[in-house]
Amino acid sequence: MNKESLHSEQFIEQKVNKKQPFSVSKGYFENFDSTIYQKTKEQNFPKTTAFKVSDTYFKNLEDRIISKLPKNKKTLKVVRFKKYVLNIIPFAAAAAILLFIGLTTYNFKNNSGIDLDSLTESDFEYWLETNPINTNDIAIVLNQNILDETPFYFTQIEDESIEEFVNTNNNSFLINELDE
Amino acid sequence: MIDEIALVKDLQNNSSKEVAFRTLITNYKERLYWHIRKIVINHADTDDVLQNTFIKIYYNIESFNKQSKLYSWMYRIATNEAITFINKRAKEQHTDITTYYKKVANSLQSDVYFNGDEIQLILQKAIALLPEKQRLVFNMKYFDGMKYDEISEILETTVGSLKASYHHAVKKIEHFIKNNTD
Repeated sequence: MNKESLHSEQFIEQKVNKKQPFSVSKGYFENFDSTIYQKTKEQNFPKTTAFKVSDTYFKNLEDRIISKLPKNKKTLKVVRFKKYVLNIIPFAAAAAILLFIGLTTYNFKNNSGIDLDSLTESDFEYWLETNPINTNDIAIVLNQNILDETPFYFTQIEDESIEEFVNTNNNSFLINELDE
Repeated sequence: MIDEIALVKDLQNNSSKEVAFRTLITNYKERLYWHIRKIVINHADTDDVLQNTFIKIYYNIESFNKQSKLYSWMYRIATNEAITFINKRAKEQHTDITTYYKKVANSLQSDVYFNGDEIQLILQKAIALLPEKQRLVFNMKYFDGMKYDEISEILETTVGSLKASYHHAVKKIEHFIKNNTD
């Protein structure tokens, strides 16, 4: 290397201190083997899903979706209110189950040979049929914070809505909802 | 390239919402369709889920807090709608998710909206056997070419976890293909 180049090199070295300015993301080298392995395997996979759709499907999709929206703002308000009510029902329904368990446990204490584990879903469903849910009763078993947090009063929920919800949902899911 | 910020502003404004919503559908319908399709497999089901997704976006756009990209938020809604749909279908048929997926994948051969060859059919069957997370990550990374950061934002899972899921998925698919081909 001639003197001039060497001098230039020394100048550069002095300025940047030969420090490597580039960096890599965390774990890059640790994961590199795995990345290469995956890419070699992927070479043998087909490149597309082979799913297809009709040529006209995407045309007018906007109109089809928009036609499902409410026509006027009044209807939109009703839909939003209904959605809000339906969010409350899981709490009420779960509380109904706790009420059932609470009442049944009390009765079981006085009966030998029967325990809580022997309760079945059909026991609960029979209880529901013979004891229409009263939302005032349900409020007793709910945590106060649930009642405080919502401006919505439970007495406004239709009892039929709660019963329909309970009958179409797994009861253990409802208990978990209440715990959360 | 659509201006997401401007579009969100119009969507969150009552006077411009309807027009903006139509623009939203036009610009994102295909991407969301194919994402959902890879989850629910069947075209008719995809159509249902896609429409429900856009309806949900319409009703919830006010709650979009702009901390993620609009597309990531929409993609997340689409993913959740698709998964909910599959879970509901499996429950209606009194079966578990894996069995349901196997059934759907097996029916692809006679599906008019599937024009794949034998190896593509085998691949779909392999994917159908994966656990949910591995299935999602594999579809999004392998077919959609998404980066781990993007997938992480959509699925709200760490990049490390996604990489592990993808690694397992690829191994299982390779094993399945080898066992089902000459």
